[in-house]
Amino acid sequence: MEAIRISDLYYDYPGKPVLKDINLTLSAGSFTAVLGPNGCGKTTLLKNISGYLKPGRGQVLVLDTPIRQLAQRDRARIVGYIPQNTSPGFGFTCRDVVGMGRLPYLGRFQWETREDREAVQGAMEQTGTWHLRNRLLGALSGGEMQRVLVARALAQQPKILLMDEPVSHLDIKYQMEIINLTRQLCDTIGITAVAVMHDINLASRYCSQMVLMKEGKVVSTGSASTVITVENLRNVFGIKVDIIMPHRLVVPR
Amino acid sequence: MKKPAAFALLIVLLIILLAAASVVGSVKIPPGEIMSIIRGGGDDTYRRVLLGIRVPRIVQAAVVGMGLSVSGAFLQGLLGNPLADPYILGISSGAALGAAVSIVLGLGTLGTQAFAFIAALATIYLVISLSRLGPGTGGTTLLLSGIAVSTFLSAILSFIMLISHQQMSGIVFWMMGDFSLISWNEVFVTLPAILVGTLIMYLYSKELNAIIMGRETAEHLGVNTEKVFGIILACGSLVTAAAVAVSGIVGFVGLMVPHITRMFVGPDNRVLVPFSALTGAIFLVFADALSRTLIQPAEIPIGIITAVFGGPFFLYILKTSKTLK
Repeated sequence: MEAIRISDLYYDYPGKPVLKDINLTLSAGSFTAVLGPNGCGKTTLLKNISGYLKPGRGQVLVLDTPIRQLAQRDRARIVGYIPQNTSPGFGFTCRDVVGMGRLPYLGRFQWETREDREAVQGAMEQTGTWHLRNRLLGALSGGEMQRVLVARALAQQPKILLMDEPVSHLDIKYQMEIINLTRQLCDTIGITAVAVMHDINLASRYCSQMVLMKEGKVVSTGSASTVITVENLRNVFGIKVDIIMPHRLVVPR
Repeated sequence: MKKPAAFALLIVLLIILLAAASVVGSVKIPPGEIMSIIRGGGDDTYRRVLLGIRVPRIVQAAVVGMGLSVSGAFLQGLLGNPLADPYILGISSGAALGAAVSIVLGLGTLGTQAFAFIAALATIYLVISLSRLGPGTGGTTLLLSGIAVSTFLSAILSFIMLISHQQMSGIVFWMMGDFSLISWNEVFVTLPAILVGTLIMYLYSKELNAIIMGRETAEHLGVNTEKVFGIILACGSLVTAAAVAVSGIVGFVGLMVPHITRMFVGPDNRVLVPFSALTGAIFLVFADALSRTLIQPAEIPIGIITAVFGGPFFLYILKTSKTLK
C-alpha cells in the first residue's frame, strides 16, 4: 500500500525554483532517507509533503488524499513533523512539550482529557522518555531531546513522520538510537517515516528507501543498491568514493 | 505549594490589598466610618471620597494591572522576546497619541477609545514591519524599532499637548500614567474592553505554548499562526488602548509581572496567564497606593513608581536572558 504519492511536483520560492518535477511513491511502513547536498531542496520537499507549503504545480497525496485539501488541524492528525531547529523550550517540561502534540485534537475551550493524557504517556513510553517527563526540555542531551520531539510527534498519532536532519548534530550512539527507534516505529505500528539525512552509511544501513536529490530534482530513488553507486555520488556531490561490500560502505577515495 | 492553593492565596491577597488600599490616602477616613459607609450610612464627604473617588480608582488600577500583564505575557511569547511589553514596543505611546488627538478634537469617551485602539494597532503593525527591515532576525531589532517609534510618537504627543495649550500636567499624565481622574464612568468604559481582550487572549494560551516552540512547529501542530498572531496583537492593542486612554502610559508592568510570575509557575501559558493577571492587579494596586501616600497630600505619577521598579528589572532581564543573544 502506498502512503505518499508525489506527482509532478514543482515548488518555487519567490524568483527561485526549488523543486522541479518530483515524482515519488513511498509505501506504508517504509523508512525513507532523503539525501543530497545542502540547498538542494530536501527541507522544502518535506514541507511540501506535510502540506505546510503549497506546491506551485503538481500535488502530494497522503493516504490517497491531496494533503492541501485537508484542514490544517486534520493534517496535523496525519503528519508529524520534527523541524531541524527546535527552540530549547523556554522552561517547558518534557511532559508539557509532548502534550503539545495533542493540540490538533483539542477544542478551543477544551483542556486535556484522559484520552489525551494516555496518548501522551503512551508516546513517551514508546520513545523511552517517560522518566524524563518532569525534566526541562532545554536541560536534556541532544539525543534525549530528539527522542522527546519524536514523542511529541507520536502524540499526534500520525500515519506519517517527517524528520528534518534528526541526527545531524548527535554522536554516533544517539544517531543509532534515534534511527533505530524510527525504524521500530515503522515496523511495529506501520508509521511511514521520511528523514533528511547526511550520513549515507547510516541511511543505507537502516532505511528501506533512498531518495537522492540534486538541485531540486530527484536523481535516483529506490533501495540502497540502486541509489548508492559510485556514479550517483560523483554526479550529486562531486566526490570520488569507493563502495566497500558487503556493507555498501561509502569511503572517500 | 500546589498551584490551585497559590492561586487562591493570591486572590485573598488581592482582596486584602483592595481593602487596605481604600483605607489609605490623603483624606484620612477612620475605619469606623468605612464600616458605616459599607452598611449604607456614614459621613457624606467621606462617603463621596471613598465610593466616588477611591474605590473606582483602585478598581481601575487592578484592571489595568491585569490587562497590561496579560498583554505582556502574550507579547513576550508571541514575539519570542523576553523584553517585549506594550510599553517598550510602543503600543502604549501609539494609544496615547491616538487618545490625545481625539481629546483635542473633542470626540468624547468612545471616540477616544476607538482612536487609541486604532493608533495602538497601527503602531504595533509598524514596529513589527520595521523590525523585519533591519539586519538579522534577533530580538534586538524588534526592541530598537519599538523604542524608536515610541520616542517619535511621544514627541508628537508632547507637541500636540503644547500647541493645544494644555498645561504641562497634561503631558505628565500621558507620559507617566495617572489614576487620579478616574471615576466610575471611566471604569465602566475600560473594564469590558480589558476583560474581553484578556479573556480572548487566554483562550489562545495553548496555541501560544506551541508558537513559543517555533512557528514551524506550531503550524505542524495544526496552529494557524498567522491568525493567532492577528488575534493576539489585536486583543493586546485593545487592552492596552483601553488602559492608556483613561490612565495614561503606565510602563513596565507588562514587562515585569509576567517574568516574576513565570519564575514561580513556569512557562505554560494556561497557568501563567491567570497568575499574571492576578499578580498584575496586585502590583498596580500596590503601586497606586504608594503613589497616593508617599508624598501626600501630593501624588507621584504612577509611571514613576513602576519605572523605578521596572528600569533595573529591564537591565536584569537583559543580563540574564539567553534568547536575546
